[in-house]
Amino acid sequence: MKKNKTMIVVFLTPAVLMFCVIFLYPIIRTILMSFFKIEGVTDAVSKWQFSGLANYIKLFNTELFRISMWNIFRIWLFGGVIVMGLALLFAAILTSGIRFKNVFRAIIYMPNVVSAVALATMWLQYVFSPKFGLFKTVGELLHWEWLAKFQWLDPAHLFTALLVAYCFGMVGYHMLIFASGIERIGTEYYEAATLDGASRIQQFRYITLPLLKGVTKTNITMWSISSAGFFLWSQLFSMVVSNTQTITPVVYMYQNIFGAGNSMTERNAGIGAAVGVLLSVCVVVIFIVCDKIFKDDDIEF
Amino acid sequence: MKKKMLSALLCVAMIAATLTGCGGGGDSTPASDGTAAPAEEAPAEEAPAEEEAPAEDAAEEAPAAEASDGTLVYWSMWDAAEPQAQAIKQSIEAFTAETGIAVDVQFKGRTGIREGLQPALDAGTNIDLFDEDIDRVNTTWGSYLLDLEELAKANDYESTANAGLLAACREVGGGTLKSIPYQPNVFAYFYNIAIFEEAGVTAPPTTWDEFLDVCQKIKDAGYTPITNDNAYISSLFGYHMSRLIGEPATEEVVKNGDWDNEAVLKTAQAYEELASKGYFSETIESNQWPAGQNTELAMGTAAMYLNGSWLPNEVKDIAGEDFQWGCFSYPAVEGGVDGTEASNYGAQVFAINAKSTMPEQAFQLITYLTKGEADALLSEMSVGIPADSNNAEWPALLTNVKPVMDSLTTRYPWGAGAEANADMTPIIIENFTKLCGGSLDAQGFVDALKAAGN
Amino acid sequence: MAKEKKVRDRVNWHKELRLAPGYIILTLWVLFTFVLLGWVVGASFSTSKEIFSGGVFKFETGIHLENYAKAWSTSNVSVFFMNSLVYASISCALLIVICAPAAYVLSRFTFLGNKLIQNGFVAAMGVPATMIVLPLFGLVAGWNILNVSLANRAVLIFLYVGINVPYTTIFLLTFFSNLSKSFEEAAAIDGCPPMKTFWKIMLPMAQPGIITVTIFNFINVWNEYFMSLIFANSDKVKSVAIGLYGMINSMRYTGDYAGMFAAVVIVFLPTFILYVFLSEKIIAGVTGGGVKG
Repeated sequence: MKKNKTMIVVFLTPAVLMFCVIFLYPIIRTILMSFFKIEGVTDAVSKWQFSGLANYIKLFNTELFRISMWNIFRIWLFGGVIVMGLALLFAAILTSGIRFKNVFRAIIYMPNVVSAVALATMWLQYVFSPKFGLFKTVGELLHWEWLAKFQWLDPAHLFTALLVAYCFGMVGYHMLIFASGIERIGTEYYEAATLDGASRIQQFRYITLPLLKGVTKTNITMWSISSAGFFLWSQLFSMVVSNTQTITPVVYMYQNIFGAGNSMTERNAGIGAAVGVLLSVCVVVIFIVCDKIFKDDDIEF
Repeated sequence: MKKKMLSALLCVAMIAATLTGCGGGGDSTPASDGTAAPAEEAPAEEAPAEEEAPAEDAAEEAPAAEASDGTLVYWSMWDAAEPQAQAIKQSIEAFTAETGIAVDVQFKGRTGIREGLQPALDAGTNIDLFDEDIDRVNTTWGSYLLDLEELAKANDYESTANAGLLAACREVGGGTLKSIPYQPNVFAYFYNIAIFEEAGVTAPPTTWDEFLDVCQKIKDAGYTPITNDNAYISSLFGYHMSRLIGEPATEEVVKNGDWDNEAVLKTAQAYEELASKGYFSETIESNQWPAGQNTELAMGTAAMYLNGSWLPNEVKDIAGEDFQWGCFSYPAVEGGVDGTEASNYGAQVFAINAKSTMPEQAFQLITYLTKGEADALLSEMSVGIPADSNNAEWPALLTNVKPVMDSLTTRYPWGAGAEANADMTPIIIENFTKLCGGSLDAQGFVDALKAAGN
Repeated sequence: MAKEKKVRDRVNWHKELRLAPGYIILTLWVLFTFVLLGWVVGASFSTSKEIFSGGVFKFETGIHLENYAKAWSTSNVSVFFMNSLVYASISCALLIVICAPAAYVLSRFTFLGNKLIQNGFVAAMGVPATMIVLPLFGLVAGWNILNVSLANRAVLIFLYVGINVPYTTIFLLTFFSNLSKSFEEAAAIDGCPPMKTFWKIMLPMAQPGIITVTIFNFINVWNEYFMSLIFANSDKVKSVAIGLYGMINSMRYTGDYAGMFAAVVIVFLPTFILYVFLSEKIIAGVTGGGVKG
């Protein structure tokens, strides 16, 4: 391995350098900020007031922040199961040798390219509308009373509505990752398996899945990161002021940095920083746990 | 093997090159030529360095490019395509032609100003003047503002300005004038005159009993009396509380979580009554802005909506030209502290950066934009209220707002105190929405707020 | 290769039948997508009144092309497009050049600090953009270079690359870690130095991952909003995302929802075509050599 030392250094330096230039200063600053009371994010250090762990203590004692953490956990878990399931299913179908593969793939990924503002308006004002919504119409057409009557947007169900809308958009993204993982698996495996008389489903279970461990890890990591940063959809699903069903930690952070809604509320960028630190820790923990679970069993092919 | 590696690398580089190639058609040529090079040669370590090089070179010419050539820099809260922006742009051109003062106007939009202004000011960016909501400018950015008392006096600004709004500016500015208001607005009940007439209502209600009476008549006529959206519904709570005990007291209750205050239960009971009598829209709980204002009020199925004077402009495409707008202040409540003379009203305000090197010119521009023709143009194009008291003619859609605006003497902040505690706002909204929808009763509402306070 | 392709192109009914459930599932999903996105497109041709009364697909008042004319004329769409195209393509190329080697080294070799770097990258992605971008702006704005458009563009591209370094590196990790070590061993026996081995053999073998991450990076940079908002100092250097948000907000504040959807479609269509073109192009370019695992 000695010979590789120069290679390690040469290959790593640009990325690590870039990383340090962009992230190191802001991250250290953020960690420091979380122990201070600060009005504006860009306030000079001389204006900071040291407050120890007060920001963290306040966060854990605030009902709204706890609600926001609960929401993000629900999005991560339920959304994760739904999105990963669908994404894997679609990826498996796409790579099973069907025709028009590229067309299907492009269309499933398409919602990712459309502006979220338009998609959210579409879901809120059309699909979920209690007056002329798509789900209502479909429910009436099929005589599914529960679907026709379902109030997606009232305080009791808004979270479900948000989850459905968000997952719909995310499936394509994770599908692409799965599909690229499957594509990389050599065709020899399947050819050999077919000769041995294994069915499609058996092939998927015994060849594809085990070889997808690494990609699954990537997918879970990326899903966790996008969940932690969940912001835009939450804002779009609760215009002007936030909502208990849709608020997430980043929205809570935003309120503490820039003020909430139209009213002039107290600002404390220190609390915002503390939220950032907590989210970051969550993501790292998930990443490390994933690393342990999906340990490289020396999968080779 | 060689071929594979080449194809992989070339492909990435080629795409960069072809794409930048097409991109170079316009004024972006220098950027693409300068930066596409490192990608093609693919020297990993050099790439970031290459990026920085032009930046440093350019730094030398930077100060000369802007600082001292006498151009005013104005960061605007409007988005470039908004009618306000277009009116202001037009007026600024006229201003420059008249005075010879060049103005660099940057339409940053509301988010751009709200998120970007303070970092830019902190970093010493050259900004002479900016605008935003009266409260945000004076409280959030108060320490960056130039005191305008002297300039206003020297230019005799106040002779044709709205006295009430200037007073409000002084109040939020800590006793001194730090901002100049324009595009005033008022937050009150807006209603569909046609429905009122059909229901036989002759005059808008001024007391709660009259209000209940009006609701009943409208319901009997087959319309929905009241609708709202999640974005504004907390104002119903705030206004009612403030009518009962005044705004400062309401704010105290909300900030300190004093939900045992009997005004909270009284307010909740009043709304429980409205809900139980069926005065709210059936879909009130599901109304996600702008569903209520667009599908109910503007479509003519609902009669009243508590909102700002920007509403008629927002829904004019849907409501149509012959929609007649009425307006009344939130009714007075029996035994309450405040009457119909109190409401949330405000404006967008201009302010001058305390570090500006051209405050006189900046004030000159502000005066130009908030008076006479420019003000009238803005009012006309944006269907807004004029700031110059000489511009007595209001846009047709807002004719009935004028008497309400003129009658106001007490100013509530946004939401009349209901949104004073950001940690509680979503919880108040959730439970108040349920109260209006009938899925929660008055006591349940109070209990829910109390539970959340712990 | 050519022969194989011919065989594939002939419809094999037996095989297609076996795949029927797959076709059905995909078709249903695609149909659902079409209805939803079709509504967006339909809304862009109708009026705000129709949008809010459930009449989008009826076109009772005809097709309203004026929404497009209005959205196009009120904004500098073409300039924003060119800017975003330049930013996104340069950033994507640089990102692969910088991150692929790093990901390879991180996935292949155990050395002091490896896990630390990986965790650092992941942690960085967990920190909300606001906390990263605003302090950076405080630094950069002090140098007074943002007033020159060329420098402003260079800074933007530098930031786009830097912000996406952790993402790209972490993404590519698994694609390298699953490659067999036998390739390098064989190359070493042939006397190929390790760095050359990477560029010649390993990088092309990770191509599905590189294609995918490039698509994501492209869309990421294309849609990046917050940083561009803070750093783009003039209309000349603004990206599509900023322009689109400006348009969308203008339309929303004036209640012109039909215009808003028209603005969205104007921005969406070229992006989508670009996406299709881009993925085809990269796939074609990289698979040209016929790499096999």
